[in-house]
Amino acid sequence: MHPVNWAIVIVYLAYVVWDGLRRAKGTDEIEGYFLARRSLPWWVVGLSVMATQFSAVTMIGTTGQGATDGMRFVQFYFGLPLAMIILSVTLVPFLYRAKVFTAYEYLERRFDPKTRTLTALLFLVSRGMSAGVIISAPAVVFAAVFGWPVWASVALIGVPTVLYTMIGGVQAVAWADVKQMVLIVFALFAIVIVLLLGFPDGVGITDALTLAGTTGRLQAFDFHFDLSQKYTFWSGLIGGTFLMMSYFGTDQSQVQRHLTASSVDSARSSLFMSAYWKIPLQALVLMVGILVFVFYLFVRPPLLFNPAHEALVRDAAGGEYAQLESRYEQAFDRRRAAAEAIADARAGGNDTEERASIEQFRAREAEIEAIRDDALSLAGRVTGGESDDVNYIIPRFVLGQLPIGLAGIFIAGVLAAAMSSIAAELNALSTATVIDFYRRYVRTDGPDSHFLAVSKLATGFWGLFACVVAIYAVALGSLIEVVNRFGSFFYGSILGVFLLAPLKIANGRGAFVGLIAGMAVVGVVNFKVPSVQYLWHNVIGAVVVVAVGLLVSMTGGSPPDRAVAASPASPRPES
Amino acid sequence: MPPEQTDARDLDERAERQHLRSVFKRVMSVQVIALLLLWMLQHLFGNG
Repeated sequence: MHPVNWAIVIVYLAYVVWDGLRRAKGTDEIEGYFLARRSLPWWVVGLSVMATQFSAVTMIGTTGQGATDGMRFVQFYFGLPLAMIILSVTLVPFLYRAKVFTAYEYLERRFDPKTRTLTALLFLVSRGMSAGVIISAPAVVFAAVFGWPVWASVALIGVPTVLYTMIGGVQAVAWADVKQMVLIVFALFAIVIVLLLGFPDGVGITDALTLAGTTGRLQAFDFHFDLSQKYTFWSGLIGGTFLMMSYFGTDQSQVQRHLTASSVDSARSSLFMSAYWKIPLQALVLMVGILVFVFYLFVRPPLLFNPAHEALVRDAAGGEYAQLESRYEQAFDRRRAAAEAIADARAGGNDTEERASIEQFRAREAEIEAIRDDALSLAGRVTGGESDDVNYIIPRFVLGQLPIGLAGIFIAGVLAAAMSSIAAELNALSTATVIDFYRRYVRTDGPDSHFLAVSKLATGFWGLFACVVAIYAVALGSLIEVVNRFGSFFYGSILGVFLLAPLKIANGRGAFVGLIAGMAVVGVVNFKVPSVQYLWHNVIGAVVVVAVGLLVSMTGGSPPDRAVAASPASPRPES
Repeated sequence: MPPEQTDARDLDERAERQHLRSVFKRVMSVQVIALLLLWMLQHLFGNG
């Protein structure tokens, strides 16, 4: 990468750390460190919520998915606006007014300690591992693209993030998120403009969209009701609503964002920001990938986008790869000619010629895809694993095609996306560790300074843990997959517990048994009916927990003994 | 609780409900427009 690009990345990293620490006021007490003394304006919280969810995987993986699969993935977010509205009138005001540090703390007030401890433990296990995955995904890509060892990439992302999160607490995280979100959006718009200007003469935006649409990449809606399809309108709307309600309403990494708001209205407004902007932003991210696909119709891309795999294949199977490359060059020239013929036919207003060119183009595209499949299979054979280079499409494009300066801004944007997500995770992991375990079971009383010191140590510990997981993520691949899969078992189930909370009839035993039953049923569905896609697991988990929880509560004999007074249906705690 | 406090609280809650209803309408309108745009994109350019 050009030194100017490196300078941009380094200046950006230094600025984020310096500014995060500078803004870390009031972190000399635990409420300031974890909740910013509930003082942040709605737009800071709103941008922080969006930045937390927008990880480096979104910047490089989702854009790559746009290039290979098109707009389909946007359906995943169709339930988000509805989930935000439901949360803003139910859980958000309630958790905010309950004056809790963690969502799980509320479960003890409403149900019992074991329900709180189990949900907090599930959060720590899954999020501890996922923090490592969030670092490792971009670190592995950076290592391959720049030729570094993985640990160096992990250190580049992890060290500054741990530093400002550990010292500055949630205020540093939230204010850093604001800049990171601005940088991310700027980088995305800049890349779109460069792409539009980079098409050859005679190829306009409508030609580009026609070319993308011809290959099915503008297919944003699939109305088939099929549980085995990962992304459909219905899985996004129904499964997505449950998933987003669980993520934004019960996951500490998100709950902690809106607990820092200056009022209930601010907390609500912060969620409405995502409700308004998430789908358009996600469409923009996918559109970047789609436009990169169109760009590569006229400029020949590498046959394999992962440079590390490309080098290994050249060494181990040079002859076979050279043959594939030769076929690829010829097929690329034929596809480019077909793409240009479409643009010419459109310019001449010749419908018959345009239809014939489109058929030609589709046939050439299929040819290219077949050669790419052969190359990926060869890479898989050489490297001894499955080779998938979706995550490398955008980084290779950025480093090879973007002008000096803009490439640096994009790489800084990827770092920003990674850092904002990791910082939120570390902050939340530390909060749950200290509030739900240390202060609950180890030392229930003590000076604020003691808990503050323990909180900083906990942040540092989880940062170190995440970095170690990230470094060994490749070797731990199957273990991480197990943990992620395990995580999908309980997302919907935890939501079910929170849905039980406002129901007066529900008690602690019902909630705990329901939670176990929900996770077990999702586990059985996952292994026995693997065709059911994971978005539906959230619906199944939540419904089973509520049904079993109510049944057990009703048959358990003892009436609800805990603070139904703390349920949303009851008067507000502070009024 | 004195009656005047109860009345004030009822008014607050009514205003809050009205505010949330209007936000709900705005959010859903923006989403419908966004989905319509995606739908148009798919159908104007998607069939070739």
